[in-house]
Amino acid sequence: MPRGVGKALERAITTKERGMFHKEEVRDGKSEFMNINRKEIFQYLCLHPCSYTSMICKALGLSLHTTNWHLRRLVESEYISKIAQGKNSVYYPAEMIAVSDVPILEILNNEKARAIYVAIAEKSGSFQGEICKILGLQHQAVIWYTKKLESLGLISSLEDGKYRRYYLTELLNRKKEENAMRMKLFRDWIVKRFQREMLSTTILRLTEDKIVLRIEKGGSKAVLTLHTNPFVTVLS
Amino acid sequence: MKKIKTGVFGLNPLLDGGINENSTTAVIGGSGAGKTTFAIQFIRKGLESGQEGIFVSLDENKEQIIREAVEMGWEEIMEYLKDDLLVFIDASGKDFSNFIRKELHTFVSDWKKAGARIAIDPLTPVIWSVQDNYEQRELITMLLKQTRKVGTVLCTLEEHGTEGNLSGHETIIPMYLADCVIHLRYKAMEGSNSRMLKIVKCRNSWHSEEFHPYRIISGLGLVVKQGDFGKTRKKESAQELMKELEKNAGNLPKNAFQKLKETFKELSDAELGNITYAELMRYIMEEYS
Ligand SMILES: Nc1ncnc2c1ncn2[C@@H]1O[C@H](COP(=O)(O)OP(=O)(O)OP(=O)(O)O)[C@@H](O)[C@H]1O
Ligand SMILES: [Mg+2]
Repeated sequence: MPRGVGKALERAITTKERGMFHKEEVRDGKSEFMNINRKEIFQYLCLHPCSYTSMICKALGLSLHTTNWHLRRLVESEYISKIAQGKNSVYYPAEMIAVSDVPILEILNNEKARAIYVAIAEKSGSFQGEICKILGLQHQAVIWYTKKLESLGLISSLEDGKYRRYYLTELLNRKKEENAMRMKLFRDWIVKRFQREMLSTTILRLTEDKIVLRIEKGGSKAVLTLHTNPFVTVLS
Repeated sequence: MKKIKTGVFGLNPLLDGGINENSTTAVIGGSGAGKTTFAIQFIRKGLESGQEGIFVSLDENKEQIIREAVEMGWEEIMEYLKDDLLVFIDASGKDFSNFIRKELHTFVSDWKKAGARIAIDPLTPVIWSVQDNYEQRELITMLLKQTRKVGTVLCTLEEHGTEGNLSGHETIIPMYLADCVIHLRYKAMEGSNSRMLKIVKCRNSWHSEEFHPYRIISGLGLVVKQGDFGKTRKKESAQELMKELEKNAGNLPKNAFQKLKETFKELSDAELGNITYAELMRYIMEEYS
């Protein structure tokens, strides 16, 4: 049996593009997203908007230096926005998130806050003491985060004798429902931006939860998978 | 027809040994159902037994799929990649449908009987790349008819819309045209028992008609629970049936009797489901009374 059917098929399918791959890379002919790390950072921010630099480093296994460099470039090119939270900043894809939603996503990106939120979701009416036990967290931490979650309207509490019980509010569900419209705008925005940059853009896949785009220019190409359901993915 | 193993643990007995060589299989499932994992298992099994593997990716880029496969615990695919025994191809729906229309024919005549395993994941963007339903059907017919000459083909289909309702034309068309259709039903919002596999059809072969729970396990991929269908064919049971048949030999035409004898030699309990031997004999005798 002759070998090599795979390579032959690859040549046959990509034949039209073949000539282009050998061209010199023109510097301004490339997109921000042709760099794999930069692309992954942007994809990560779609999945977890309003992350701190340290979270991005950890999730993608990149150094702080590299991550900062790419974040700066993406901010400069206005693909992402940066907003101060305390003494650090969080980042999110521009046009994806309303500024007023930043604190909600910021807190839910925090591992402990998220665990507490999920614990309350799983057992509505939990006491602080119960949450401490289930999650193995210090009492102080639970007090601090429940307060924070409550002040943002993500949870509510009711007094029950000596202690308080915690419940989820409808806020996150409402955000999920309102998301679809906003994501339509976000998708339109990003596709327009690519077109303005003369990138040939193909939508490979479009669902409620994500859009997969292929961009090509001057022989370089990249496939971007952008998640578009931040109020769902933030809990993952 | 020669059966080949799917590479999915637990699945082969449900397909009476595997899928037919040089056939086409469609794996349908929603997001996260395990379509890509299934496709990789299928390719990997082929590599193991010396068949070349081709993975055409219409969705994720190939780096990502390779990385996910390695994370699954399948590092050895890197070796096959080096030797070009495994090739990943990134293509858009348009690229691919142009290829099908213009070049597939020549390609197939060059590579007929290459005996490869080909995965197309997912096929959906290829269908979407043309507008008209009739054109879609023509395109997919051409694809499935031709590629199976090169090897055994598996394509995945995205399930959109309501759960378990496989009536969108982007699933209907390939479902009719494929030889074997496997549905991975996955309800992401329900707990750990939400994954179910069902074989919708399999041409030229017996297959299970039940829903089988499956799991995705790191290092193994999809593992399908067989239930009662996993048991190997019981020759003793055919013996019993044979006795019933002999008893009625006098009331059957000679050639019918011979034919049934042959059939019963190959018959398994699983095929009968809950039809008992006595019942089966009664139905047969009714036919000849
Ligand atoms: N290493 C792993 N260990 C265990 N389970 C895994 C692993 N990797 C993936 N999974 C499971 O497989 C699922 C995804 O499988 P896969 O990518 O094959 O699905 P798919 O049907 O191709 O999805 P999509 O529609 O997104 O392409 C995950 O949601 C997860 O449940
Ligand atoms: Mg997939």
